[in-house]
Amino acid sequence: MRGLRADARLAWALLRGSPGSERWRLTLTGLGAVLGTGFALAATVVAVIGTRFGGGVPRYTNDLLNESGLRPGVIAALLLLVLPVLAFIGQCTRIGALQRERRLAALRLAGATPRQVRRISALETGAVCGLGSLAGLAGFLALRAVLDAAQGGSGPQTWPTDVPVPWAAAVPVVLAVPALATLEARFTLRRAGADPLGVVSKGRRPRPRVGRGRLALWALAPLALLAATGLQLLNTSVLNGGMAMSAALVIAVVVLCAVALLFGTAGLALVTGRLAARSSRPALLIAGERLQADPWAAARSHAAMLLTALIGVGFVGVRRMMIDYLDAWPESFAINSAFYTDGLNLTGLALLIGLSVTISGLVVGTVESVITRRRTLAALSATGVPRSVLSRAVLLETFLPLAPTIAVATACGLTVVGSLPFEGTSLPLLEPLLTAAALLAAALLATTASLPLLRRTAHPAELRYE
Amino acid sequence: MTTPPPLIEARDLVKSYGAGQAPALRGAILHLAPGEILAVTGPSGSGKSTLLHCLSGIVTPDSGSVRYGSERLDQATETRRSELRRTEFGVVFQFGQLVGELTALDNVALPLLLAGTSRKKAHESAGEWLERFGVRGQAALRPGEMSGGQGQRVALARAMVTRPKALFADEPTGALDSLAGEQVMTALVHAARESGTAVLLITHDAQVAAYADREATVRDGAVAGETGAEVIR
Ligand SMILES: Nc1ncnc2c1ncn2[C@@H]1O[C@H](COP(=O)(O)OP(=O)(O)OP(=O)(O)O)[C@@H](O)[C@H]1O
Ligand SMILES: [Mg+2]
Repeated sequence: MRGLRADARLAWALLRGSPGSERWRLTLTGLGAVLGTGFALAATVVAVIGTRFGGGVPRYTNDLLNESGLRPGVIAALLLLVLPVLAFIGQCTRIGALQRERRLAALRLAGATPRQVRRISALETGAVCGLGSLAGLAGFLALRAVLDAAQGGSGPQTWPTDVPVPWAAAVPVVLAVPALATLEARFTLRRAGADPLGVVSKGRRPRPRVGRGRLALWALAPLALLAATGLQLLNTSVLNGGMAMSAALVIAVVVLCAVALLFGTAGLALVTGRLAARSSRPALLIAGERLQADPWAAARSHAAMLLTALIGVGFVGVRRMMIDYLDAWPESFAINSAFYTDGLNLTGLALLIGLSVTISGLVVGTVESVITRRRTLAALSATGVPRSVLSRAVLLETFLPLAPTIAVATACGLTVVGSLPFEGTSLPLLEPLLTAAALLAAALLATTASLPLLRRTAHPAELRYE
Repeated sequence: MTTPPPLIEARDLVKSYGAGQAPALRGAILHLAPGEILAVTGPSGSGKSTLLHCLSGIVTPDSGSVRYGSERLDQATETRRSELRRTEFGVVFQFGQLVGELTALDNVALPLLLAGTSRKKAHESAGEWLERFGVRGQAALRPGEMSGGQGQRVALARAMVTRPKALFADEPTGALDSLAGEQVMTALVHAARESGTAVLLITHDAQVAAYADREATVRDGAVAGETGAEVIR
């Protein structure tokens, strides 16, 4: 207990002496925890609607909440929103990683055991996420009270504020979010503090991770083959089987595609990196070197983006086909076609929220990678490489691996959509393609947002600071 | 005249940093007697730092033994070696060993804090050591706000705050001008003599080596020669 208190004190002293980036990291991590807790709490409330804890027979304006067959979908969507949030928190963990590595090594040198060092880091993340989680709970309760007051008492309501908060589920959620985030931080930093010489051997460059990029290339072939087989299976109308069976198959194929895309990004980063590094254009050259040096960095920071592209394109396609289908067979849905469009719109909203979290993660990732390479960039700038070339290099670094993989993700999404049994409709192309283009544009915009920082960072004067 | 048993004794150390690389140490033999000041010199890349890291338990050799009293450091766990670093050994490098986020006072108190000493006591001792090295006035500053010489004195204060049995210093004055270097060396030697701390001191500087009781020369990963052993004790 005493050890823990001493460690907590030390963590606090370290935090007080930390530069701005560290505070940013903790603030953003805390915000992530707020969001994650909010989504998960909302899911618990939906989960108790219509049960004996949930205040009677549900009568809301939206059938998504009324139909017991649809509520699991709503719950799943809310829980899925926690995923990009976790990805975001993961990105945040990487902010200032280099500096933290240096600090942990210095602690180790002074005699801290690896366990102590990891405990000090975990204390930080855990405490911040715990606070974030509590804030999330407070925000959730406040929002609930506001909505309750706003929608008045009588008639069917929009928001399920009449359902009591299921504390038996809410308390574990509030505890689980910081626990998950701490675990995640520990995983991201699993090698941190291993080497007490991290500080002293700062002149040595980290070894390029080409080997792991090659691994990605090797694993890619069988994965791509599997995914392609899955897509083919879907297309040869296996979907005529039972509903549950078909749904499981579709989900399996989507997951397979996502994994293959991830490996594809790493492999592609390596290959395009190689090609670009042979170019004689400086921006391409710099971007190429960087991609080669750590191909998985690209996969890591683009993972959430690719998943969003895959699901987003799929969703836009399904939406168009469903609307066409409803138009084609109006008599069979005469009663309630609004029900379906409502559901579609809500799903779209959830996706947009997921997308904005994903984009924030991308911004954080780019900013982080610029800060990490501060010295290199400053050194390049000091040797006369123009700032504009550096900016282009950073953009290319995002664009080169992302553009082809988004294209493949779009193709995968469209193939899945095309296999769905909507009679009398044709596969929509315009909307999904526009979506893909918009996603790519958003990613590039997010990267552009970090360029002002680059301009400030890549200054020869930076070299004077340790 | 009987020689006391060595404090630390390394035999036949071999260490390489990865397959395909020439070993940094190939059969190095060295001992450090209690309370002595030993200078280690040799050309750049000869393996001096690697030797120091092995002796202080920061890294483990591929083969060979490092004895500290009755203990085998090369076989000790990471936790035990960390414990030794915060209780019985001190380390000072050319730069970089201070925690950038902590004040000088906290940096010096760090080994005590990590060992569970109360904050008040730890700060008291840390303050005394800063005083002895003439940097009391910098107690509230962080390493980035100090000059190189001040930083090295703070690092020395931290290395000495536990009154260690052995101090390992890798070119502690390497980044300082000759005057500042001399001041740091005088303070180091004085403090070590007073606490009975043995010092293993790597240096390129003959003037600095002159502070030592004994000098060992490292060449190509092995100790090639020693001078001055007969002068003391
Ligand atoms: N972390 C490391 N990774 C790879 N090789 C290393 C590492 N540390 C040292 N070496 C290699 O081991 C050999 C000995 O290095 P060491 O740092 O011990 O030399 P040194 O005598 O201290 O040199 P200097 O006087 O320049 O500090 C060198 O060839 C060096 O390249
Ligand atoms: Mg050296």
